Amino acid sequence: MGFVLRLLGALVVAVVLGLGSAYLSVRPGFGGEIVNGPWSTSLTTGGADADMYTRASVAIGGLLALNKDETIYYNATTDSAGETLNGACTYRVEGRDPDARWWSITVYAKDHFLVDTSTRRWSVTKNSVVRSADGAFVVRLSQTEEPNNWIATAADGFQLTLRLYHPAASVKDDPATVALPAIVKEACS
Amino acid sequence: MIARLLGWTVFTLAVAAGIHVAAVAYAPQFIMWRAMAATIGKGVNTITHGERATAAARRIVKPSPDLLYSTCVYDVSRNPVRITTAAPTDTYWSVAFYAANTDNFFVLNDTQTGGKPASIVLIGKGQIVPPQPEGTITVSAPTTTGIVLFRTLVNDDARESELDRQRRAADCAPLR
Repeated sequence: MGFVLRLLGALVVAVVLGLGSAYLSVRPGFGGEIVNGPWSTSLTTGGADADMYTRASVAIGGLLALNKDETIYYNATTDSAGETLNGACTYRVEGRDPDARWWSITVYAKDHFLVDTSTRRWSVTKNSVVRSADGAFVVRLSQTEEPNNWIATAADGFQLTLRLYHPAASVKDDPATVALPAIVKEACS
Repeated sequence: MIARLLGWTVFTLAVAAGIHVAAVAYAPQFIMWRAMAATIGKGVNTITHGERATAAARRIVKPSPDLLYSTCVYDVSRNPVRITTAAPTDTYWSVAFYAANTDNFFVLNDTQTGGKPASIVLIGKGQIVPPQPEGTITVSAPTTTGIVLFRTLVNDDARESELDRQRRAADCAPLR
């Protein structure tokens, strides 16, 4: 009887440890071993050479992602200062066009789905962004609608995904240092 | 006493390690199985054209609000499957094939076809494809089931209806 109880106890502890450590070891997203400022990515996303942790990470937070030749996905959950993106704050995403055929910056809620907003302003893209004369752009993230270069955020926190379709060879060669937009906190309410 | 405690500790950690590996390794298959069930539409080997993603789209995580998605859950257990792409004009489009473990094992896009539609035959293990029209691409499926995902970029909101109409020329059907 004592042995059976000890065995059951050990199995319960093993299940909790096994599932708990699995949950903690998989960071939902597009994989993230490559860091570029607030952005992280993985070149094995979607590829057959992805390890089991990357594959699980993508399955949970970026299912049906394309491989690196087609699209590179950068994800950000913090600003450029390393602070978690906060729905009570306003941010500006500033920079120049990433070197790709087409790009987009999309805001997602913490559950990885589009933010529930009546404005339908979930993204800014290569085609929709308004640039200054020198080619630079500033996109504002907040809950107060603006006419251009604005994306709605979620009150309880959010994340950003930067998609680069048909990225230039320079991006694929060095995704950690290629120029990407900065995410700068402006103010919090 | 100490030896017994050590033995139970090693046993518990070994079982925990096995559960950890199994959970991480099989999570993608489980999630993909749920995704196939959610996107199967009218059945396997048929195409379903989704609406442009909004906050109400909750079947697949991180949908792009700038793309029109069409899906086909493939099953090559009996017959190969023919996938015909559409050719939406002046925009990016692609068709991507995913195995049951989430691997993206094949992609074809508008640049590669010169903007023209393409015909792809997806085959299972041991299947032989009868002679096909010139230009048909044959792709081997690493798993019996999976998802084919068609993407069409809405590069201008004013073109959404036009692109939606164009992408509906795509098809997915068993090859008999």
